[in-house]
Amino acid sequence: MDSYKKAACDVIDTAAEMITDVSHSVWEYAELSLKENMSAALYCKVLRQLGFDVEEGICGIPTAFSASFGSGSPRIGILAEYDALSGLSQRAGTAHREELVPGGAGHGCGHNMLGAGSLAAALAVKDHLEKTGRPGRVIFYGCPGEEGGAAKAFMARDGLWRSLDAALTWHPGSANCVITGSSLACIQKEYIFRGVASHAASSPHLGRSALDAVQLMNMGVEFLREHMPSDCRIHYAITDAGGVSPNVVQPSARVLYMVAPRRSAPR
Amino acid sequence: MDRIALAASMMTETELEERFIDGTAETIPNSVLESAAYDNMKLIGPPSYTPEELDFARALIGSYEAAPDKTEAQQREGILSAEEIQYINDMSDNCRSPMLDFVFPHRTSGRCEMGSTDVGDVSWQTPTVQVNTAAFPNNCPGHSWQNVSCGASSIGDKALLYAGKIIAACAIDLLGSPELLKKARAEFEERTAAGYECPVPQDAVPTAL
Repeated sequence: MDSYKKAACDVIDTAAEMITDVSHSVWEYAELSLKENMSAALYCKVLRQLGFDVEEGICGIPTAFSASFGSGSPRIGILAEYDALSGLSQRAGTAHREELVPGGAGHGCGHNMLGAGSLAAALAVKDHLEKTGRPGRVIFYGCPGEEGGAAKAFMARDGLWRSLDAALTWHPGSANCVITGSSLACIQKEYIFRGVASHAASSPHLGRSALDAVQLMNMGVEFLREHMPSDCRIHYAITDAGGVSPNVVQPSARVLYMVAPRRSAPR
Repeated sequence: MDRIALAASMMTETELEERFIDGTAETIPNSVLESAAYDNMKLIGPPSYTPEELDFARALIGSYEAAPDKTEAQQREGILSAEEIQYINDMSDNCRSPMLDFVFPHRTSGRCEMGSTDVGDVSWQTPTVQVNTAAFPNNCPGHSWQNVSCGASSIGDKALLYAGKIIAACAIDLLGSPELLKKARAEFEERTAAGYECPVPQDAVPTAL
């Protein structure tokens, strides 16, 4: 291993406790997509203390931020995520199901580690730039809402990533490997129906059921499935079924669709 | 989909509102960056585990309600050579080891894997690479409580420090080699020639559900 890389590994080993503390704190916060206020604030605080130039709320997303060091080019981006998943609160280090916070969220996709590993990398690259005096910039991007919200796609709409010479990131998994291949394009859209409430027994003719609309939409989509390419995916969740009273015509209902269409042949 | 929704609203005389939540593009691989990442992964070398950590990993594996139906080796059939698949099986007691504590052989592939990520959108705008490190036990189910349990353990700590070192080493390679950046850029230009269609409409606002 060359001396630069050896030095980078040493920087990370020396700062290991600080870095894993960040991972454990974000694990405890377990904040859902686009609500990662404490997690983003912790990263911004730590990165400022480490000498990075931090910009919060980039691309109009409150929990997105950038933290850069160095000047000129090349510009190397390191991507971080820190959102959790609902319903997965779990005590650490146990091999049986035991919620830490009843009904709470948990880092079931390991994004507490994702952000902290990227922090380790950014810290080591900053040290490298400082010690070598090489031109170049390392930019740590805080990317919220990977599980829902897709902040990086909103950031892409604003052209953010075009300013980089390369982007590097990682994801916790069960193997040590380089990720290759493509992934599915995907769109999430919510359909909100509004009808008219009425007494379901005495005046059903005056009501207009939004729940019926959701049911009809879902049935239509079921028929659509037969005619899709087999590698497309459609998933749904009824996020509002209009209430719990069968004797009231449901005046509002919502269904959330996630559609992964095939855009083009695999490259 | 939109027309089905409209038809449903017409049939029920209800009003329809459509709200864009989010969208992601497919990921564009980059073999130049993947090779650099693979070399650094081998160079730094993966962490090893204490007997206690391996016991914990075994216990978590014993608690899986629904583990993936393919082993890590089987998932790579069609991408890796038969010898490379055999190497994975040899290194992992036929994919039965509690932790997969070695670096997997690598080949670039364009095969579409199920699942989506907004890293895809980044990969349409700049050469991008991602690595995995073993933060969870062998064959862990995605989005599981077992992953939560492991994510704040010493196994997770080792995985994130290893990942940080790999990414830092890749960045050092790129900062020191305009040639490497140029090659990665050339491949990127070729693979993205079709042009990026951002799935996010101009007027969309990020929405927390």
